[in-house]
Amino acid sequence: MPIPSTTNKLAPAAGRARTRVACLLIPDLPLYAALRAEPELAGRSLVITTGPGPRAEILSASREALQAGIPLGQSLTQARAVSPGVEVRIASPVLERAARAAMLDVALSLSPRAETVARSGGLFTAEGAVFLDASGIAALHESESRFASVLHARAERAGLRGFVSLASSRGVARLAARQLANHARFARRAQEVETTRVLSPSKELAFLAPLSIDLLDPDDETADALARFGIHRIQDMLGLSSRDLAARVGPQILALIARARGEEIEPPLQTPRSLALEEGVDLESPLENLEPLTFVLRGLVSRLTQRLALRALGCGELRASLRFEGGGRDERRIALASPVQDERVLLRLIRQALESKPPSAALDGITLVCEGIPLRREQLDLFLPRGPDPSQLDQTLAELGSICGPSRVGSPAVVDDHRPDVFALQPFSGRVAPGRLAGRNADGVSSFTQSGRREADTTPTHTTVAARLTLRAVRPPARAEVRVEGDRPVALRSAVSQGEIVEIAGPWRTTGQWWSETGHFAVDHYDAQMSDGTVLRLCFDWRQNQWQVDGLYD
Amino acid sequence: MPPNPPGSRPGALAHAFPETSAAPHSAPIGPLEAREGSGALKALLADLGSQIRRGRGLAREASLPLAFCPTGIPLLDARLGGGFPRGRLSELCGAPSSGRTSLATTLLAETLARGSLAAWIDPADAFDPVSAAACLAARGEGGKGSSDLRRLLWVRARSEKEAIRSAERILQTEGFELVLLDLAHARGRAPRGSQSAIQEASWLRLARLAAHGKSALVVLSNASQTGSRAELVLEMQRRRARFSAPPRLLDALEITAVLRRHRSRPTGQEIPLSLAADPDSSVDPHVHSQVHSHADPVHD
Repeated sequence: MPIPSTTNKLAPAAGRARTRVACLLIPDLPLYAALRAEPELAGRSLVITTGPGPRAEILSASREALQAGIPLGQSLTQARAVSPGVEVRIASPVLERAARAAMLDVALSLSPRAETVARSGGLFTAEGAVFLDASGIAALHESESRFASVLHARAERAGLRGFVSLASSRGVARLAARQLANHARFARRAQEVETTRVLSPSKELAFLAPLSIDLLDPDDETADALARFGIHRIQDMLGLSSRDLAARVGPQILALIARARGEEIEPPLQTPRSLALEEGVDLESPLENLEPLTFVLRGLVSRLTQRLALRALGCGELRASLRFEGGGRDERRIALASPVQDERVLLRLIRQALESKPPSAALDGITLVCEGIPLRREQLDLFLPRGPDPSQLDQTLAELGSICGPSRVGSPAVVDDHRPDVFALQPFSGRVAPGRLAGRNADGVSSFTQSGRREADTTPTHTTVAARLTLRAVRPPARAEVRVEGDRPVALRSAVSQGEIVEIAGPWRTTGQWWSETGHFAVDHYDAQMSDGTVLRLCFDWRQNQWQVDGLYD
Repeated sequence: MPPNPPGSRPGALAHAFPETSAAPHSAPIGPLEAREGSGALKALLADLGSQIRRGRGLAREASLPLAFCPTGIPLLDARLGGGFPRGRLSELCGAPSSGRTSLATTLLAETLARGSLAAWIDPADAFDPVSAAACLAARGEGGKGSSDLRRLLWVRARSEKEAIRSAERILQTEGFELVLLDLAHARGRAPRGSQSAIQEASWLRLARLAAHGKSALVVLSNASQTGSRAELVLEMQRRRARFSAPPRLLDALEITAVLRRHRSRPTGQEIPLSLAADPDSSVDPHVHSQVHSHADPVHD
């Protein structure tokens, strides 16, 4: 491969001035993942270990633990020797995954394009980072510094304390954030810690030059080779010829040089398509009863709703994955009629689901996955009766769906179909068709009713008034035994009514879909008055060769 | 005796709360006890104040004219004082084919046509969307009944227990003008766990929730079961079905509505009604007067 022989000059890359990328970086992600789940541990001496047992390494430690003299990378036994009262938690992949997703939610609350960074190795194993597109963001937030402060504050509210930097490329933004984290580690007081940095394009290279090459996250072989040559800072590396460096260190140095100069090939940031939010917890001791489980669920749901609020989403479906002690899983699916963001409602629904079918064994882990749906925003009509508050209505629909089943709650709709008793159930929205109320007065009362009411005041008492006769459906149709004389039914026995038929009208034949083996229907309908006064709709199904009562005039 | 607060009647406080003015202990009251006593008095006054405010609110509510859900049937609305009262529990009861569902659907259509929201809780799974759409189309400007149905929340509860829970939840959501709870059953015997399972306490709770949400709660049943909790009980009685001359068609159902219970209107009056299968052809005063003169309540 031909290697360019040019010396690496500290010149800005052309065409990069307009792209701005923000990086939210949390150097101790396992620590903050644990603190999200147990906020009461904040301010205490806490270490996160790589696993159980006294030989487990310290992966991450709180500021209090570091000040107590516990260094990272030591074993738990050594840490306990230094500080016996230190709190210990094992790094949880479930919590860490949720924390990374929460970082992405924070980023997406401020920018439409964001993506998380894959987990690094080496020095940065405990690091979590997310990039977000910050191009033109200054127009929205007065300045980029202000935007960085907002991002930082929002991350803190989500329980994720980290560092924010803005630069022209992902690599440089990440380096700047890492440098902030590095300075913070050696700061004596919390007030000295700088948490945001905005690098203007013209100052980026000057910023990069004195930085340690370790911040570029080189592989071990490259790092050793550069150290052997006495190259420790980025400016030392960029001052040398790429060709010569590649010849001595290896071709992988070219990627490191490109990263240092902010010239790394970076695909555009994506808009995440998935709206599924996940929160989970591995329980330290198995839970058997619902009551303590509710406390755990409350934390999970609280974090979920916090993330939903960040993304302006509502929960459309909730899946609870229960992991049993000694293996085995159970999945619970709670479909919601409309998006819900209320923590209490979601918690109540999960409780209902668990109470209706309690877990068969003790639980040692639980994961909640919530399918996010954009929340409905609707302006109410000035000239219509006040309907329910939309969010309250959503909650009501969700609870009704939980009580009766989501497929049994909605608005009825007439279907253009000739089959008997065909209808549809649409999601209830309470919307009014535009222009539907034209011709009605401001009180919303139809002129028919008003004139009718005036008329009623003067109408004699013994006047018969007409209303429309309505059919009352019998679902499923009740089987009937019918005595037929000639071609007329004369007597009936069914669960709805039985006796002589005193009046009958019909039949009216309805057939259709004769071309379909399964959908073909052919029925004869009769309107029959029974001797007990009941007026019902009698039906003979030619396909099943069976009499049925499928309705009652009431 | 300390002076009364400005603007108050002399001695009013001592007269109103004699126990607070009398010394409860024989021991002399020190500064600490005096402070505690004044605190208790303040708490008592604050508590009484809230009760007085609540009482005033109740009195104001009671004095407010009731809002109604009219049925759109002028004679019936006139007899009911305007329709089914909002914020109250009402009941429509009667045997099968007595016109309960038709009247409820008419009430529903009238409510939806005004742009209001309504809910039909249907443990019997008997609601017929086609009939309701036809009724709405007849009430509205024609042909658009199905679009009005979008303002109807249909809850197909699987049991009466679910129906009661659903009704409670809907009534808690203020904004539904009409809530229909269909506890009537078409079949010969009541479904398992029905009616007898609905306790007096449930009706009391539902009536309170209806009052809170200003919704007209109308219960459909075979026989009256809401007891004294109902503001209005309308019993439907079937008279006869009318079939047309050949070709034989079901023309109308002749029924009578009897006001069995009403808090403020005279009860016991019979209101004859005709439920027409096709309203355009049914309103024939000659036929109706003939029908009304018949004594046979069920059939010819």
